[in-house]
Amino acid sequence: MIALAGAVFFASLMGSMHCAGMCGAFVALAVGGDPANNHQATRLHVAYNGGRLITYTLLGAVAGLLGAALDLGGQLLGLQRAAAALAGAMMIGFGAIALLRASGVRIARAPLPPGVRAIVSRGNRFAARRTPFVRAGVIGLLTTLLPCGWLYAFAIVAAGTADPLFGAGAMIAFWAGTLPALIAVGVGAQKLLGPLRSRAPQIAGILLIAVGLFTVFSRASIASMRMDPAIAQPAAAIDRVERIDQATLPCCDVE
Amino acid sequence: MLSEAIQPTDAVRTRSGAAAVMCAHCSLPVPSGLVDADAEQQFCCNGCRTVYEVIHASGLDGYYKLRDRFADKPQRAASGRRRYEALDSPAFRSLYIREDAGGMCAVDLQLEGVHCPACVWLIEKLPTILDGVLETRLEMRRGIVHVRWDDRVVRLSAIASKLGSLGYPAHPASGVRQRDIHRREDRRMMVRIAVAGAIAGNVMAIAFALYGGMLHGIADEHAALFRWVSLVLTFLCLAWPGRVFFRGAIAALRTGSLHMDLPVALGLGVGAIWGAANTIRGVGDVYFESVTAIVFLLLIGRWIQQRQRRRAADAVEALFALTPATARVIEDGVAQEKPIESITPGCTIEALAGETIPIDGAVIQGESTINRALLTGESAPISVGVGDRVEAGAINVEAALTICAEAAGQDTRVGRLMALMERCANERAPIVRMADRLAGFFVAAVLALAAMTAALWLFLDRGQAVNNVSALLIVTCPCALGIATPLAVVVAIGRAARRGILIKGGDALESLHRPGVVILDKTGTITAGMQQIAWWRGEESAKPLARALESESAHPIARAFCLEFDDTGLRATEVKHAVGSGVEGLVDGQCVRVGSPAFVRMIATTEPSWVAEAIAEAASSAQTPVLIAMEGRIVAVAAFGDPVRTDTASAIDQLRRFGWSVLIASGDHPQVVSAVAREVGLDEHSCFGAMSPEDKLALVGTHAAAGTVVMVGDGVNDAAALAAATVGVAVQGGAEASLAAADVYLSNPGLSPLVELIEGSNRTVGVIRRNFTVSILYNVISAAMAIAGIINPLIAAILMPLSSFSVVTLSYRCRTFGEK
Repeated sequence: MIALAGAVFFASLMGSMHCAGMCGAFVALAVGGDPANNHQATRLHVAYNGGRLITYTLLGAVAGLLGAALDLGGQLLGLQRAAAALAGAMMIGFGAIALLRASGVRIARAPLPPGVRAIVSRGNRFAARRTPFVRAGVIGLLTTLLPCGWLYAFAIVAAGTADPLFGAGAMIAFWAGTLPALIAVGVGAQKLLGPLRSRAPQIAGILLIAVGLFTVFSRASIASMRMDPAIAQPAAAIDRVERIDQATLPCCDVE
Repeated sequence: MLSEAIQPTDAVRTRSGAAAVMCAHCSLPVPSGLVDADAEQQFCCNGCRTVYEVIHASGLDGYYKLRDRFADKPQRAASGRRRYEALDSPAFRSLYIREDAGGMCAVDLQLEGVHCPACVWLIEKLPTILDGVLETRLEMRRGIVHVRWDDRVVRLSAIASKLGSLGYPAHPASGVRQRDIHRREDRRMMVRIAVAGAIAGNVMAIAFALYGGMLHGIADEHAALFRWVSLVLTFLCLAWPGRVFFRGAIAALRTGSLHMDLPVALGLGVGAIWGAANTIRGVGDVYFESVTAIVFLLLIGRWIQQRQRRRAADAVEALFALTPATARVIEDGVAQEKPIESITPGCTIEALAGETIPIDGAVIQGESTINRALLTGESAPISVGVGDRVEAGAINVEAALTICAEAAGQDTRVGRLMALMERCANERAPIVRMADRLAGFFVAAVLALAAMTAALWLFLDRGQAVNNVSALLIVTCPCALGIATPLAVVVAIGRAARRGILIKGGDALESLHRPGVVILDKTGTITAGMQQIAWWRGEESAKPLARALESESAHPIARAFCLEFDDTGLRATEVKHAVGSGVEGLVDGQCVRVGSPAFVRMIATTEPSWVAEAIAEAASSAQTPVLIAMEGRIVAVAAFGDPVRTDTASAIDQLRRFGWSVLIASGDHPQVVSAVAREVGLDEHSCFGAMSPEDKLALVGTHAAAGTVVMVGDGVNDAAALAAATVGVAVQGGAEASLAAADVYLSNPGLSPLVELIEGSNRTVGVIRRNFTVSILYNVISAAMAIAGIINPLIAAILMPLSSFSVVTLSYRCRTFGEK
């Protein structure tokens, strides 16, 4: 899990110039206020990113649940690690499409999901009437609704973990990776990555493929990590349960 | 919108050479496979399209303009420097920046976060890390830095942002109320101490549980939990309240100086990391309780230091309260209290009886007497009327005066005097710079010792190594060493100011303790500087007549007559002045003539035989003989002289006992000078008459080669010599030029204050030496104990502030000036 989270974090960090570009406007809306008031700016950053964290985590957990369901279905069909394999394959596919598009191959874009714009607009209008802190928080919460390919690619990674907790974890790692860019955009350091900007689509494509590969191949270690070695062996587990009345309580462990 | 999307500036050349299309929203390149030739706007993804539409629908298109403007700027200027840009504006320039003849600029900036003498080293290193900065002098007492820089090389905003990056946010010195900054600093300090204290308390409690567990047994899981909790708390403690030490250490590394936060930060870092390693490995001791307690105690120590420092500065501070902060301004016949800052030349001010005059100006209405003791030391009130000049700081004694303002605040005479004083507190003596170097060596020595201790204990007892190294690093914190000199000097200068001795620089104190040559100007220094009647021979009845005649004149001799003899109500008529000779007139029906022997003898018909004797006697003791004749008959001879002050002889005697040789240099006739020398007990060889300002300068020069030269003088004619001397001392009533040139200003008359000054500087140097001895001795002993493994980091942290505290107390308690 830690390795996967690390990979997600790294990819998210590297690709976050996209986030800065896309969500920069909302960050400006959310934390824009009195620029001299540093204290307030910090609070607003916390609110905005806190809002994002909440919905990202939820999204990750839901995706993880879906993955778990998929895994279950896969097992019924006799397939091992269906979610991870599928998620990995999708990521690699996304990455490949991104690279192809960047090199000029025309691949039609998925249609814009209907109604999303209206919901986000309404949310923002609602937020605009609130105090700056609430406004920043609401804008943060709404971010997850944006049909951002980058975000949803990582939601698929979360699904690939096939566990709500790990899914949430993956999204938290993703969120953490976007933090520097989104905070930087608020303080006006958009050109952070300078020369890398013009290669953004290619970089994103490569990162997606890398994380996809990681998803496929790291699943095994996740599964083994979740298993308590003591319980993994049935005999030992039964033995433990049978001797539970003889064991000293940990707190009364007198030598 | 299309034009905005595919602007040339937005286009980036791809490898193939074609201009890439940029996303209308995020300005990143749109993958060429997604470019829609028909669409008005191009987007790199659906997300951007949605955000674009939302923004557009909400009427927030202004965002894009803002963004473009943002993006055009170099990124560096955007973040850190932006808040300092105002410092480059012409408005700020005209208000605060001074430019000297060479085109160099100077400004005073108020810094936040100046917390210990070590900051002085850091900030004064600025010229070495930033090109174009010529000088940064920090006035630690008030947290004000004087910056001199070359505007063609570096901008003030760059200097300010560099200071900011070192941890000292800068403000224009008069823009921010200093008290607010102090309050904010205090509050921040208290929060830090509170957090550090709370964490230290909790970690300590956990440590007790762990130690208890060691004795009575504890489950491994619980021990591990406790250790992890204290680990988290400790790192929180280091990251928040303890950050000041690390920031200091990092800044020191950046400037390449050996700062005393360095060993502290190293000690804390080693302890915390070693503890963390042990926690993760699950074996060995953790040092978290020591680390957190150290942060807590060091912060308290620093806070006490800060408080002491401010208290010590209070005496100097008192001088800044000499003039009132407000003045009663008369506008359209109505008097109104206004802050002194708003007074401009030409304003009409009213000063009531008993009030301190707030400005320099000329009286336009009213008559009163004023006491100018503050400015001249002269305690007798003088009377002023319309047209007379009055100065800020003088006390209006008798009646209300209306004054037309000529100068206010900094531009007044007392303001200039204060400005002079302002520069004093931190112009540091060579011995301070020696302390800086000493501290550098000291830190290097401590680091070497720490390495040695580590090696030693790794060999002896691996488990104790970290403990002992931490203890060493903590206990040898050279704070005491760093404050030993500046504190003693600041306290001494403050005390001296209270005694009427204004000392401009610490180096004056340092120089004065090594005896050399004192050169005294005669007029006004040894003597009172005004003519007085030395003796009167002849008919007493002539006194009122002579006074009546002389009361019409402003000649120094005439004024001496008026001061000496009581007004009997007699008035002179038909008064005729003979310039340079005397005066004649009718008093009480008699023709009276007063003047030089030649002038009076011209009309004298009878001259008693004793007159010639008396004239010769006066001449031999360098006094001016004045003859008084009535109706052609010489009736009296008066001798006038500038009498030697009563305390001069004893003061000179004392100076010589301190090991100083005393010389007299004067522009007066050599005979006059040698007469004075005889009177104060000096021989012919140590007095020089008929000295021009150049001669005095040369005299200073010849003696300067041999050692310390102290020049004491009061006039413009002494100014050059005052500036050239090792220590220039201006005496009470001195001209402004001499004030500017001198290092010390004695505001009480006579030479006794000079003796006091020299005694005081001897004692100050004594205090500095004692401070050094105490702190070095303390450090040697405690370092030895730490190397031997006798004290642990916690004890070290308790002992550490003790040395600073003892030095602070020693400096503050020692009698340098005043109390004998």
